[in-house]
Amino acid sequence: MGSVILRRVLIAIPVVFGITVLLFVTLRVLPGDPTEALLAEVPVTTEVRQQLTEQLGLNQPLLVQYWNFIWHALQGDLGRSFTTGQGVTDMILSQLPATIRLTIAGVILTAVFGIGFGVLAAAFRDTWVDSTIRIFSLLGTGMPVFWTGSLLLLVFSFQFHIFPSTGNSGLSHLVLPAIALGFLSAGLLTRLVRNSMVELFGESFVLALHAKGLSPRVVTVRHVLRNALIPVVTVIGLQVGGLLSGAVISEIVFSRQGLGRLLVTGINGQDFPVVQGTVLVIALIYVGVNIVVDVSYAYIDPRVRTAIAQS
Amino acid sequence: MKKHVTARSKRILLSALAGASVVALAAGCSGTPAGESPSEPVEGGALTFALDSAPDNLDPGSSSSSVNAEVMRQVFDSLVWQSPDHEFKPWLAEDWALSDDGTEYTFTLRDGVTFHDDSQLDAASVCFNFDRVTDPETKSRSAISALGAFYEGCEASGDLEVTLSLSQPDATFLSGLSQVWLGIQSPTAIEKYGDDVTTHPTGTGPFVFDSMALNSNVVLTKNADYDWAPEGMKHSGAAYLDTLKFLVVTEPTTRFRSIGNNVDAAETIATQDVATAKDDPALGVDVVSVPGTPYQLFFNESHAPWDTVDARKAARMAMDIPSIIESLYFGVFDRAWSPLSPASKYFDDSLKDSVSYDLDAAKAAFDDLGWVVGDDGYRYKDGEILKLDYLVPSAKREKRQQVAQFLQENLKDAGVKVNLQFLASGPYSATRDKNDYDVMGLSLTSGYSALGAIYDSDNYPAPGKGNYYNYAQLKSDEVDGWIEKAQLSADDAEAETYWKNIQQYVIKNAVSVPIYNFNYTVAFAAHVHDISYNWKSYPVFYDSYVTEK
Repeated sequence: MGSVILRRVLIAIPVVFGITVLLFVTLRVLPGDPTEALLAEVPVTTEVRQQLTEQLGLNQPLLVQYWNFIWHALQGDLGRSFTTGQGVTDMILSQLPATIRLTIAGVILTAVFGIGFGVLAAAFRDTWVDSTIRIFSLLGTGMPVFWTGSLLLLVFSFQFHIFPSTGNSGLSHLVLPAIALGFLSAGLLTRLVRNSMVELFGESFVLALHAKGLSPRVVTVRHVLRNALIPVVTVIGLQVGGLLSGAVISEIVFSRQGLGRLLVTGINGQDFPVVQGTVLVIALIYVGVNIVVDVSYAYIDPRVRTAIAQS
Repeated sequence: MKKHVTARSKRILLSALAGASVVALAAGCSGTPAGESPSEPVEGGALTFALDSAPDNLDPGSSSSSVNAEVMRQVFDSLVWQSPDHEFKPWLAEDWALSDDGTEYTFTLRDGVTFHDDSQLDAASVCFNFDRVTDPETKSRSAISALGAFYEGCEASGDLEVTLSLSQPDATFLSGLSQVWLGIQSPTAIEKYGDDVTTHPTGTGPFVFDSMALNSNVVLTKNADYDWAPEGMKHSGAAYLDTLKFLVVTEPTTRFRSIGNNVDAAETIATQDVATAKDDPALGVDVVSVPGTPYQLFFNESHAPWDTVDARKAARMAMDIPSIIESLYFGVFDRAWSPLSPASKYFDDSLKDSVSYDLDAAKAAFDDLGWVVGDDGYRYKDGEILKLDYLVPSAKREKRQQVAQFLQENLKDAGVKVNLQFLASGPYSATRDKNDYDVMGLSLTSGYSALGAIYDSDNYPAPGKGNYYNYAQLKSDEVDGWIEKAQLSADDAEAETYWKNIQQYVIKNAVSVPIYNFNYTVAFAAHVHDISYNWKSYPVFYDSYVTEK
């Protein structure tokens, strides 16, 4: 098991480095000058501009800039924001909890509703329950987070004042963004669970269980669902990545803090250190989640473990 | 830095700091003051104000965006206060004197003023602030611009006496000092927090910084010791509100619709929502005229055929601006007639109705210029199509994208092919610097001096030059002369003549086409009272209070 983890981590290192190189070059090749974004509508002399360029280190060769970034990043220092002068590491740490809370809430909603509705639909397949759930899951997979979010705001915040429309101070602030976020992947998961359960219902071992005289509920929950859950765990893991990117939009619709908002403002202001730092952290989370998924898969299924060990 | 100022950069800096001295017409500036009910002010309570973007740097010395200024204005006082009708009043300085040669300002500071960290305001602390702004390490942008090109240095000539010297007289200096960028910070706090002073503002203002969550909110609390409000406010002593919370809500609809939910007042309300709010008895609206230049389109005079007045005028006649104002802005933004907004000092009122929409006249004018309508409806001359490459930066702002699409249709009717380009800031500035456009829009919320930044021939954009605003590529000795004379003129009436000459020249020669005057909008719940606005149209919460909901 340990060697599997080590192998996955070793493969991840060049991936993360690749991302930083690509990002670094892209940011600097694209037209536009961060000092200009910084100065916005302030007319200044060429001297002040040059001074600013030097102080931001933008006059140094690209390789030197990259080396400085990597060298400091390895020590946990992601530089200082061009706009605020604040440490990027601190800025990210201040935004990370909000994104993580939202993502976890999204995952929980996805799992609860995805599995719950999937099981219901499969148990009552081809009845009105099944049809209703299938329509909702189709809607869920088709509706963008932005749209769901706006709709939820309209009904639950603006019309009925049940939930606050903005901010991220407590649990009540988390409900609507998490639903907006979870709706999409819950839809996907519902279909996955339903279909694999329906498939399993036709398997001979299920027939045998019924023949043994077990109640339909015991067969469905203990035996069929348990088997259906193996791919579900993996899919939920993979969904975390999707939820992270959905969180960006959800953060904007609900004016929440988070990595997504930080990244967007960083891009708008051409604040290189903020963009580099945020993308690096998002890449690390992505890669990290993938490693966990792969490893857990290997843990669940011995055949995968052998395959990884042999590769 | 100040030792290396070239002639040209001097002039640009001059423009910048004259921008500081912009004067809004009293009539246009105050809008409808929030809360007209005759209720008595209430002590205590909290007010949540929704901002349209996130404050990220609350250090006046190094900050530059207007949303930061809005928050900082509640925390920091300046040496002098500039009233909405542009008179200078005592604030942290209770008195000042100017030397006979006009180069030395001596300020007498108010006694007994304390910073929020309980340290005392004295001459040394003021000089500490000014020295810090000129130190390149501070990376100052707006503050150094407000200080101006002629600032030489600060000397504590007594415990409460500060002398600021200039290399030459500068009529706009006091105006620069009144800006929040030159608000006075506690030196002990600056030393204590170091680089993190950007998130720990410590001033002498009516509100004390409490906390800041990036991209979310800034919380301020009442400064109970406050006793130095500038003249002209509605009361004296401490502010009424216990807590003033700025909440960041970037989505315009959410910002507006949240009023009465978890927000008490919100800024930058979309024009269609202003109309809704006006009809809603539970809401109030302030529409505040902003000094500076309106949103206007510049014809690139270095590109044929737009280098001729007749072609520019023909295109202008084909633009149905009244319909744009009516259908897109619902009367919240008004039509601009001059390259200066009505809230600016030296605005030329006589330009109203000086141009009009006339499609037939536009067609006739293009005919006269030899542009013949082809089978596709567009005009041609010598095998070349009559086209206009229209560059639209910040397209999302104030429906500028719709304005462009509207004009594209208008000009098509006259036979002009308009190629619209909606670009992000990076590609946009690259295209601008390559001079690869026929028309481009811009507004600057600074003041009359922006005319210098926009029409001075030194200020045409070029690669590596940065933010230079002569998008029309205008090179007129006449205009250059007026700008220089106006900026150096000591006589107000004389300066007014020059600034008005420039406005008239611009309209007469169709150098640019003013479209709309940008107004700052605030909507608030009925329980919110007395939000006021300073001369730069930033909200001031010193007099504000909330009654029971």
